[in-house]
Amino acid sequence: MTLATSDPNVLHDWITVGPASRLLGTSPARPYVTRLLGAQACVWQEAATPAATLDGAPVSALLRYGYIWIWPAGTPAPLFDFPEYDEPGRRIVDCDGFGVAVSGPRMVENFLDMGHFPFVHADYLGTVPHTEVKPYTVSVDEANDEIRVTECRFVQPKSSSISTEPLEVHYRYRIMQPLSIMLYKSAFGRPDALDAIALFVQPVDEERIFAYTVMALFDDDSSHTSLVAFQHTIFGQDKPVLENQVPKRLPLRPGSETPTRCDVASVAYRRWLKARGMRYGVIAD
Amino acid sequence: MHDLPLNDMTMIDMTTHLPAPGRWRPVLPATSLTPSAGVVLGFLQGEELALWRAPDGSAQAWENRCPHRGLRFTLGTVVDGRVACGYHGWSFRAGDGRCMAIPAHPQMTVPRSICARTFHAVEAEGMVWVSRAPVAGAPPATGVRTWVRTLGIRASPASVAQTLAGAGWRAAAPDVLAGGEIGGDAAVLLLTQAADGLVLLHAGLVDAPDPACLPQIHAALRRLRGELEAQADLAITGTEGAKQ
Repeated sequence: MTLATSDPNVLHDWITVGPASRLLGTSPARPYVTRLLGAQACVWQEAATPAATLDGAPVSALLRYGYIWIWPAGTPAPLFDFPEYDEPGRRIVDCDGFGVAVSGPRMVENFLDMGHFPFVHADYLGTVPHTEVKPYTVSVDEANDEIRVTECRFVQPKSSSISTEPLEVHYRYRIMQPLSIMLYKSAFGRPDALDAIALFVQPVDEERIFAYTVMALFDDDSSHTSLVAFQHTIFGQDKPVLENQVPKRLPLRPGSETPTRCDVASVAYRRWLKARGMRYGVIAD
Repeated sequence: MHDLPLNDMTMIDMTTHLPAPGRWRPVLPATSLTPSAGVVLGFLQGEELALWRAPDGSAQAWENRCPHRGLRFTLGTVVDGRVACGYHGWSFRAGDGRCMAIPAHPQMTVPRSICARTFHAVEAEGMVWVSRAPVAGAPPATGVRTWVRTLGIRASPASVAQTLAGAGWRAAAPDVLAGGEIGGDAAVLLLTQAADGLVLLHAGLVDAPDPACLPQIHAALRRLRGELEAQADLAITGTEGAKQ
């Protein structure tokens, strides 16, 4: 196998290639075909497990959290934990993916960012003049090598498909992998509980991705269609912004872009990527 | 991209003088910068510019990239006489491009160091001219009264300049071609390098055109574009043939 990258951050980790539903009706002769890390990926259903090739070579594959995961090279380790997916009382909603002409790390940084809500998601996730990003806490969970962002608050006019009035919404984030992130936010009508929304990024190549979202919600009332449509509306607002960031790869060198106070989560993410020696989809130096 | 051989017919970037620290290059007709147009895309030697008109009427030309997260300024808007970035609403003032407000921190004094990268811009005879470095003089006189159209030409600047020279146009100044006619009217052509293999050709008329003649002027410009692109294709085919 000759992949265009030698970055262990994307070779020695589980990377998604799309929802498990893509495997319906597949066989070795008629696999689900997609692109990953600049190469062709083929996946098909074999008995209870999926089988896959990447650039023609067999690779380990896994179905978890409703998604197909591939370990591009070497011996697999366990996938990160997403406990809310299996938690009783939560409703799982797969929103499938958007193709976006941007690098994976730019996508994750956007998902992590509250400051853009009043401008990119005006009248949904934010509204002028409620633009302030209040201080929040960032830490690195050394045991799991994850970034935790906690105590985030933001005033939102329409925080979900069923919300009807502005609300100070609580947020938390968890970055499990360079290209996988969870967002937890106040469930509408359940102030004690947090909905969980996962973003899984499939790097088609260094500057093109599919971005998938899976939600684990406390909401028994909304229709599946309205929940997915809301998520797609939000994502459709982000897409033109993501595709017009220059450069498409995330610059990691300090000084190449100018952060401010509310960007401490983004700064921590960039440092974390740099410390891991991330090269795929970033400008490392 | 195919590199075409440069020769003495090349008029873009080939002045008779030594390279100057700055010189005016034509970017777009000044009528493009209207309040409703907001922030407009232009090009300087293949680099993207974000152009807009300040409250005092002056043309502004910036690097098309917000220093915060790299979003193109052309996705932003002009609000209260400043450019507000489309991603986080950071607003930048005319002139030095300094960031004056970061909405995520309404009480914070914005550090003076946060600035859009600015270029020098000036308006002359209905055209916006831009330079990276300061320029002492004014842009070259064109004598144009009416800018009729800007066309995108899929060709290299060298190929466009060479074909136009062969058709009798003469270099009145760098990037300025005069002495020809479009649809029977005396015309001037300005050239902007937009990208590799893409030239913007701004066509201006020395006299105000008779409105009845506009259809034939536009038809002549379309024919000219066709000729310029055909000559560029021929040159590329010829180059490839020679390599075999």
